[in-house]
Amino acid sequence: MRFRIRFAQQVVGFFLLLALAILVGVIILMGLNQRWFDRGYHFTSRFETADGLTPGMPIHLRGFEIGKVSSVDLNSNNRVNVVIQIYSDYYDKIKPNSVLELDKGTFGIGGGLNLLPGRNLLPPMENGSFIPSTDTILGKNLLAQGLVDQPTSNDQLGAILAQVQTTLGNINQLLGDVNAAVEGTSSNQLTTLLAGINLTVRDLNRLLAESSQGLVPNLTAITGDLAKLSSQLRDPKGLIPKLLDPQGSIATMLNDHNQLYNQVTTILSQISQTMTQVQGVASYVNQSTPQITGVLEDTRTALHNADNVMTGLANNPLLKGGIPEQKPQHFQAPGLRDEKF
Amino acid sequence: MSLTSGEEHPSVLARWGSAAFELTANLFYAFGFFWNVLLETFHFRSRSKVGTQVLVMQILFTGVNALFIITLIAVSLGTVIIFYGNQIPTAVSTNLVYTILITVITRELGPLLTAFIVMARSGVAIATELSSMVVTHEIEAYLAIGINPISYLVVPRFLGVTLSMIALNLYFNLSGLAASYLVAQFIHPIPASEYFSQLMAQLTPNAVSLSVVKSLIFGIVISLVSSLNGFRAQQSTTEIPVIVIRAVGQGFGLLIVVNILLTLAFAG
Repeated sequence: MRFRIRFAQQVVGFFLLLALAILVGVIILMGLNQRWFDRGYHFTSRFETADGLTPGMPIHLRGFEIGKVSSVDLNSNNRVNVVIQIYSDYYDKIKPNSVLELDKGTFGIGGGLNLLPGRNLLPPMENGSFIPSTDTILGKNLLAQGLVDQPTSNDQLGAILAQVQTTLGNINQLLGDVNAAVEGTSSNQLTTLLAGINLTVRDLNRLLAESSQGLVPNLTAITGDLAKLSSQLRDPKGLIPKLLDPQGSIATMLNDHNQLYNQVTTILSQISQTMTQVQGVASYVNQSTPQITGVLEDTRTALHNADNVMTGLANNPLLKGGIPEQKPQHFQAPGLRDEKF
Repeated sequence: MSLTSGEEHPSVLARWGSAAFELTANLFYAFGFFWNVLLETFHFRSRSKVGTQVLVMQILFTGVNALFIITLIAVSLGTVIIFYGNQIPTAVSTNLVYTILITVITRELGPLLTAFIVMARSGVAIATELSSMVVTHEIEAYLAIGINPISYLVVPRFLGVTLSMIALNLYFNLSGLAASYLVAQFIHPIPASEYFSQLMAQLTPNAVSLSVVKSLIFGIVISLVSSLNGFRAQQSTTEIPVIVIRAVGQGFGLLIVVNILLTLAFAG
């Protein structure tokens, strides 16, 4: 009998007990790891929105999980009350001036709350105390005053966002400086620059005033010349009346009883007749092209026959060897008009 | 009733109605059978002394003998998950790989694959055995001498398969998660304490209870479907393959449906 069959009860008992032990062991390990038996310390906080906040999400301190979110509720002022549980091992890390920061993670993965502990050596906060979040004014003030221990992030996305935030801060400061400089209420570099520009504009005005002293006489002389020319044009005995005078040379030349005009007309009509004749000749030639082509073809055939006769005579048996046989060759370049489509 | 050449074929509506009526009757019969099995299970220790030995053999066949193939599949699954999980930097850095391990092995595929294996091995065997006993009039003989076939034949199989399913599912989880740790040593070495600590941090009571509940219900489904179909045999041995095929088909279908329902029920 096989071992398994002979000791079936023992084998089955071991099989089931081991499975039960695995289950119990996993539950105990899970409980210890997730601190089911650790009551911990509870604190409250407040956020503007519950977006990204869920009960059970971890609370981290420099990457270590030190607690979890117990509950998330909407209060009467439409703010979000959050209750967190800090494990007993990390209770002493909850210094006064600590701040909670929401970390939504990279693309929504691995998020949680980050605890930024207060930068002091005071004893930890009491159980049930309020820890401000970065959403609150108190939290922002604590951060701005440097009372909070903030880790330097090595997250690339976070670094980029930090740079963007820094840039926006710089732009904001620049705009404030511009405002203050325009209002003249500060003495920064921009104010100095604007004062310099003001001085330059004043110098430019002075320079223009000085240069205008030499420029004005010339302009005055040019203006005088223009006025003189204008008066000459307006003179009734000046250039324009002379040109328009019927007794003047131009009018005399043109007033010849249309002789010049008639001559020009005659020349133009002769040119027109010549052009008509040229057009007629061209049309005739165009119409006669097939006939000319036929005459040329006939002439070519006649010449060919004559050539044959001459060759026959030359090759006459009585004289020589007769007419040699030749392949007939037709005209290969007829005009476009001969083609049939 | 057979149709003669002169009779008209029933309409589609009549056929659907007939099918629905038959389905309802079968469902009621199945629930009645299940109720009987439950009743007899409560009296198992007091009424069936011989049944204990049948139960032991059933667990031996269904659980112990299937341990090797279950472990093999679990190791394969754990290896695949940890291998591909380590290819994704985000999954490693955010502990997402542990979440995937727990979700796939503990919550979903662990119980389902174990159930498929048990259905293919023990479910087939139970259906074949019971239908053979019906065909050879052994069941009638039990009844003739006053032995309740459900108490003596079905309850040990019901308990054996269910207990084996729960145990095998636990072994599947242990093998899969341990194998993934061993494979991780070749890809991305990590201390055992760190690995199992992270794993335990991701393992929630919800996941564990879902896994256990699934294996419990899958065991019930497998044993009931196999037994019920086994008793459906009438007279001929040629019915046995048909009954076995039907039992396997119904078993797989029910397992998938129950798996979806349980996952949805525990999702909230």
